[in-house]
Amino acid sequence: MIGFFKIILYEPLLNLLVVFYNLIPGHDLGIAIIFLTLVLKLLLFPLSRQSIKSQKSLKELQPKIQELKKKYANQKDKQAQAMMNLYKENKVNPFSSCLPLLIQLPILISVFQVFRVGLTAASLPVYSFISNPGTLNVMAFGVLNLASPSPILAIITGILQYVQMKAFTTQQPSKKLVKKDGAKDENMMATMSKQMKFMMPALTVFIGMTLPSGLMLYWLASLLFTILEQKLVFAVSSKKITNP
Amino acid sequence: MKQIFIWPRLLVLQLIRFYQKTFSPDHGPFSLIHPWKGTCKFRPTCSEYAYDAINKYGLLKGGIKALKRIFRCNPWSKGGWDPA
Repeated sequence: MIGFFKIILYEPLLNLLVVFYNLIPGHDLGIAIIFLTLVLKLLLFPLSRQSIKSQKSLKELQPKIQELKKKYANQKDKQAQAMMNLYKENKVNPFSSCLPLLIQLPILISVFQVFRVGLTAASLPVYSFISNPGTLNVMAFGVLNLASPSPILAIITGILQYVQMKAFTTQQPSKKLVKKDGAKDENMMATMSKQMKFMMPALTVFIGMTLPSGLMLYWLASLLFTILEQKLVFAVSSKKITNP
Repeated sequence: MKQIFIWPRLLVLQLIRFYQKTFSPDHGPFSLIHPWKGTCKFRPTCSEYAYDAINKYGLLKGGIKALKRIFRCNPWSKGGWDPA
């Protein structure tokens, strides 16, 4: 199983990184990492676009959703069933589904391996048609050593994580509605949501300080592209709604 | 004797509950980083479905049903109400 993932994910990713490294003038590994992140993000874009789009159309369904929530306040099963039927009738589903999330996990582990093992290996296992640069220069932008951890990069990533989550929560159903419902469950969710907003960035900083900077640069770039992607899809779909 | 065969099933059921409380993007704390608080398109969610299916049909048959469900939970499916 591990060998299988090594062949279909780890090796192509490492080779793509080396290709970027070879092509970029000045051979800056930092820029190569950013390019690799962009390629991965573009490959996964169709999956995320679909879910962001249906979030938008779901906002219009909010009144009906609230009605159903009130109607079946004490019957979780019935409520879920009615909600799913409502989505089906309107041909929307805000949930992105489970499989893409499961697919992303091996990709994440492979990227982790690429930066943890691939960069430090003495001989790069590149395909025969790619020229082997021998050793990779791990200095990015002339100042950042990608092989060792960097607290500053970890803190920047933590801040960006907060920005990303904040952008997300403003798109969630408004808090007033949650409070009006008065249900215990939802209130607890709201508090947990508030805590999560600070927990995730804090965790990012703490874990980030122990990881090699190359991996953190990937994390940072990936967050940045996620924020841009959200802004882009929302801008495009809200334009469509205002000028039909 | 038959009692012994139920142990693996109980263990897996407990593991599913543990997963739901920790890493699950639908039930655990990570559900909150997703807009609409979850990712699964179906209700019951995939992990709930797996729990019910294994409880009802046993580890092998229920497990296969749960796996099929996870593959059904892809971007091209409609989702919806789908109990075990």
